[in-house]
Amino acid sequence: MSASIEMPFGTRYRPGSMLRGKVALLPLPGDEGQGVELAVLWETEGKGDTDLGVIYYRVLVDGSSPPSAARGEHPFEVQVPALPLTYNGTLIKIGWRVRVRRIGRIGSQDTVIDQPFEVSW
Amino acid sequence: MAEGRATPVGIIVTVAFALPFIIVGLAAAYFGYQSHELLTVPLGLVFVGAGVAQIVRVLRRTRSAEARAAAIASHQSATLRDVLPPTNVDYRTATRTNFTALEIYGRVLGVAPLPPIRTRPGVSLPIALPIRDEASGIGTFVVGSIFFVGGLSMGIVAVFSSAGGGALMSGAFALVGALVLIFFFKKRMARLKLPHVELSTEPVFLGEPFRVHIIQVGPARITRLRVDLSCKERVTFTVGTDTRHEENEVFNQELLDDPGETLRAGERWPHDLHVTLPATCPASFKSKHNAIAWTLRVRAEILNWPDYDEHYELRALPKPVGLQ
Repeated sequence: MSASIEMPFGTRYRPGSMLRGKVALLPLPGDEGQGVELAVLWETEGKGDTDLGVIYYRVLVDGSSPPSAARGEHPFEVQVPALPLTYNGTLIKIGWRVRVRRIGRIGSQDTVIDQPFEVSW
Repeated sequence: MAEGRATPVGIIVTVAFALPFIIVGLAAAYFGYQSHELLTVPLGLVFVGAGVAQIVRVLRRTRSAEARAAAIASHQSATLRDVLPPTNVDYRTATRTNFTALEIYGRVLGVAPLPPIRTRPGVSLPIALPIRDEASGIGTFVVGSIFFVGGLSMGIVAVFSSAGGGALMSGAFALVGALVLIFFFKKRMARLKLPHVELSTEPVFLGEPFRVHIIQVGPARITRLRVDLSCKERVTFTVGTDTRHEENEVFNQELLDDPGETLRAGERWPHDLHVTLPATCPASFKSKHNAIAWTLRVRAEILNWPDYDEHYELRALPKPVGLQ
């Protein structure tokens, strides 16, 4: 599966603004029966264990969908919340991402494609 | 990355590990019930619960981290919808700019990754802050009592049965218990002298002035009173089977260092502090393993009484650009 994330209004957003974009999926031979999820989320990085918060979640393709369902563009739209803002500290970093996850087959890893963006005033 | 999805092998291993707990627990509960040994029944059920919890935990992890977080967020917003603070205004269309952080963030406070702070109305300013660790310490008291009473009674038995080694060991237990109890009672006594800590507003805006009142009530012979405001990053991380904590101070400001005062019963000793947090400092944040915490540290040295040293957490939030 090939996937790309487009965000036509750039990668910097103010709280309260609308984030719009689309995910283009192109299934490859052998991708039948694999699920694909889309999420918009904040995630912590740094020394602490990772935490995340999801503000938008959608299953683009589930395991039982026909292969044709996986092909094409999937637009999405979500209002950016007031908190948390993007932060780059010493022990903690808070980053925002649009994430596409292709669920791996039994015994194999998931494939994750991230498009980072910034939330700040 | 967050905790990954459970693999089929992981699920099989977990179930294989948990099943003996469930079987042994069920057997213990059944035979305990049959033989009227009723203490065995709850013990068996604890084993069953531990096994079932392991299986439920691993089965939940068959979904992606995002799917699990989305389910939690959906549940939280449904739970909190009816109990949130007043409405938040749309600052972009508003005709005034002097909104408080509570007016701007309103409903967001219940669902955003922020520390939950249960304020109450103040006496001289609108908001009274609670101490960060408000727990009564009853657990400390129980543990200390068990060690002390248990150690003491076993020591007495050991002395009368001429078991020197046992008496020494029991004495050590009793000593640990006594130290824990002394710590508990010192903390409880110190808290009897805590001042009122009140704010003009909570949450506060970064870059905006606000007032802090520290009101010490007598009787107390304070020989030094200090108040500091700090912002710290706090993280929790796992190394092997250990859980470790680390913190980094981002900002610290001394607000007060007073040489003290002798107060009669009922006498009030107020301090009115004017504070502005730097606009460039980070906003409050709290998630399971990571936090950015703004706290007021209030400590006093008291003559003939245990000193107090307590933290009061507050939420500092960024002010929207449209209102600056």
